[in-house]
Amino acid sequence: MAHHGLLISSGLRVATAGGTLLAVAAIVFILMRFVPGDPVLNWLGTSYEKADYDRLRALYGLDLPLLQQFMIWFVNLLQGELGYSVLTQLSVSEELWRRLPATLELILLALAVALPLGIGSGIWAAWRYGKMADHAVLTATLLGISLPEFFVGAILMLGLALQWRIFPATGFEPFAWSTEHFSHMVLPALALGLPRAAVICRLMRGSLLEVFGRPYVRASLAKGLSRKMTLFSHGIRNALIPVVTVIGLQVGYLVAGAVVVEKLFVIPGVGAYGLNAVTARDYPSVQGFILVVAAIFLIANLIVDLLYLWLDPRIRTSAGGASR
Amino acid sequence: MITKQAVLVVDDLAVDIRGAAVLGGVSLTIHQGEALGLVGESGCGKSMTALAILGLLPRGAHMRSGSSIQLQGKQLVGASEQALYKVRGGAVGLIFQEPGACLDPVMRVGRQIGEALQLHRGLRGAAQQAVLRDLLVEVGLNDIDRVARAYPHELSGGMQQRAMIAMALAGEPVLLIADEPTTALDARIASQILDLLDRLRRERGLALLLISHDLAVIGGRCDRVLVMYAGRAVESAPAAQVFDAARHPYTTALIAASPGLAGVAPKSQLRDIPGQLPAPGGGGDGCAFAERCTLARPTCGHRVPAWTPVAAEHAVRCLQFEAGWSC
Amino acid sequence: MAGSANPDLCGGGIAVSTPRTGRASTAQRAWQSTKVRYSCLLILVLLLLTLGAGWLSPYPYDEIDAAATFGAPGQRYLIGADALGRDVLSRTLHGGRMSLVVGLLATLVAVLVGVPLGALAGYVGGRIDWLISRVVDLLLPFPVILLAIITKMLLGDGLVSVVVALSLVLTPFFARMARAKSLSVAQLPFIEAAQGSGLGTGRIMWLHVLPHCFQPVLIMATLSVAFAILAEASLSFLGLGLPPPAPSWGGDLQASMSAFQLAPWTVLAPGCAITLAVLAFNFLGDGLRDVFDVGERFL
Repeated sequence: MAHHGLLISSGLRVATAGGTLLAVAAIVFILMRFVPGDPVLNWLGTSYEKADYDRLRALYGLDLPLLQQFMIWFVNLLQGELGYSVLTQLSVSEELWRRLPATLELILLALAVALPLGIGSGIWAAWRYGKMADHAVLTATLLGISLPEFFVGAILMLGLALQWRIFPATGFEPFAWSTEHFSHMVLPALALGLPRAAVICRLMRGSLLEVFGRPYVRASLAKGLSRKMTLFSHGIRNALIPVVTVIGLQVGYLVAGAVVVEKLFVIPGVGAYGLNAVTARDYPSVQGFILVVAAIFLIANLIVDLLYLWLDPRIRTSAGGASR
Repeated sequence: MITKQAVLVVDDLAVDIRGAAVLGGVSLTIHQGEALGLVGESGCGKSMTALAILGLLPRGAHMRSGSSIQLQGKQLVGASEQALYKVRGGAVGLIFQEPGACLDPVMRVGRQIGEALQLHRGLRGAAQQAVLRDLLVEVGLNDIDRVARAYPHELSGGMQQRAMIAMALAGEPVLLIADEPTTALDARIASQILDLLDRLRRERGLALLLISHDLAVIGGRCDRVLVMYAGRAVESAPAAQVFDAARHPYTTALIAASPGLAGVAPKSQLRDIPGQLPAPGGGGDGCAFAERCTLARPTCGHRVPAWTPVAAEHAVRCLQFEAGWSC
Repeated sequence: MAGSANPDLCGGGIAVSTPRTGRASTAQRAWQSTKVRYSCLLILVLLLLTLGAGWLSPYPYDEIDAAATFGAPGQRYLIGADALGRDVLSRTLHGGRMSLVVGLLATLVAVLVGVPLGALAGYVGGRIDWLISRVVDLLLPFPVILLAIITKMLLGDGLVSVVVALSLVLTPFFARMARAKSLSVAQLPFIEAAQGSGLGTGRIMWLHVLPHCFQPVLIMATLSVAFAILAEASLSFLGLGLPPPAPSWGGDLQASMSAFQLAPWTVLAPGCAITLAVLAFNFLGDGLRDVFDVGERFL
């Protein structure tokens, strides 16, 4: 019976995510058409032949009515066809697909740094509430949430790469289970993950402290569980619930941070691609980039939503689940 | 008459929070199989007494030296944490006012009760399941499998409270403390829960400390009653004597203000007690009730009355019963 | 609050929820915290330094001095010179002016737009609530970068584009919080009484609903400014902020990366400046949260 509700809720979440992605795609399309100036003129520069101008317009379907353009674009989208980059003439979807693993790996590694570190230190600080350890963690995280990723990266680069040559400063080796590959990913992952860890630490600490004041914690102590047993059996899981929902948001910041880190450490990921495209006003590429980014964090939020459904049984009973 | 064993002896229990006294020297005794009702307004310290017995005072609260709490002869004040863990949920079971809030919302009810079974009786697996079923039957629950697999929010208030009672019974207690067990439940369910506590007391020979602000809950269910005001006990008597022959002005006022007290005060004659409880530490040097007492005299504000016996097993803390009081 | 009936300490976890206290006493209570005092002092210093950059800078920020390229910190250039021989101190001060202005402006817009919208949604409910909530849910998880890219393309380079992007990111947070507060207040009986007495929606919201939002909005606003400054720095780093030669912390840092080992002060100065500014506002937010958000703990 309970599983029925779980299935329906999950299904609804997936459908909503898909719908949102399509809505985003539509909005992106419309917005791109509103950008001031004629895109073809931008690409061609100051001196051009009228023939070239007409050809490019026709090639990109810019001479068709707006609705028709949208239909064509939409149908292509559903087939995974995102057009061609004005800059490189290469297929946008192919380029993005090629670069996606690097970005995903970066994000996952950053999460691998941020989650254990953040949650662990958050629990520890809450456990030692009011004592030196707690104050130390609060101060350290205050600094951590105030440092921009590129500054963390720059300092790490200066210290560990340029000064002491432990890791390479920039660059990227294609994926392999090797030291060459991972040594290039350590500093970027740290630069991206450490500020997130500080945020997650504070969230976890705050959530756990709130849980400590709840009646069922007192009831657990009255049942004879020690403080430590109460923490592990009842405290942590309840405290994790609100934190998990916020982690979905954090992935959004991770994606934004990935763009920065990719630029700093010269990693050929999706972020670097998007950045170049924006500077060059390469609309098809920008569209593709936005869609990919939107897809990444929508999927991440979906995973978080499903995780939340699993963690908190109170949500499951209503078929659709209430919006948080 | 066979003198029953004293299960709990509390002597001069005093608790301060940040310097202000919230409990000022409370003494009580509960015998085996006896039900003691602890009654008083919200904030008088009755719940604090229950928590203090188990050493579960909130942060910032301290027990004053000289407090003594003896459970079956063993001193609990100053006992090691290990010893206290065994007592909590073991020899002493505690149930609370809002059972829904006192159950972990993300853990199945059966598992929470199982936790207590494992902790205090070392039961696991099939043996634990068997005892769990017995407990759930004993507290009057039907559809045991569903209840055991349910999450707290899937159960009604009455079922949640029965589950809490089952959890308290898991450790085979000699004393059950029920802190406002029915305040959050509606009248019919409340009555059922109180009946349940009665039945368990008789069947298991439990001692029961029933805490409530509602005299109607206490009346008829308890052998003895202890009335508290502003952190002190002000009257202690067998239940019948409290209602028929209350001596302390606060007790009489309380009875007059309680709706539904069978045959004692018809609703049309309810009288409110004017004024409010003083804040902890703000009571001054004299009797804390003095400023609201209709019989107050100037001396009442200067001296805390001593605990004075007035009849068999009946004592009061009021200056008018001390020797030398001039009428 | 503390003087009246003895609170039942046994009721498990009391959150001291403040009812409508006047602005004056809120400020008084806030000022008692040392965190608040120090952070306000720091913010004041920062504001003076950056907003007064024009008067305080020893050199104009775009004055090029070919002879002093990467000059080390010393008598002439207090924090050294950058790749074009420009004074790092002057550039940092001026860069700060833009960062702080953008941060404060974006937060202001987010508060002025988000709070009324959210409060309205919570109070009125129904279709308006549904509509506003959909928009908020859509915007909420969007990374700043995306919005900045879009606004940059639509509105071109410039201050407006950056502020709009940041406001779009921040507004949903305020709206969501105001909606939650408004929902909790709308249940209270005195609201029904006010409605019964014929007060219009606008007045009820102004007099009764919005004051309840004041404290959490204040806390969120300080954290917003911190976030906005950080985001603006990242955008400048990526080249999505104000175009050069406008001085900006993020942009300057990015431009100096190649010479990092040679002249670390060119990277450290803007980096530390960003961190300090963000830290000041986060610290203030921390202090305010300590003052307004208290609970009792049993563990």
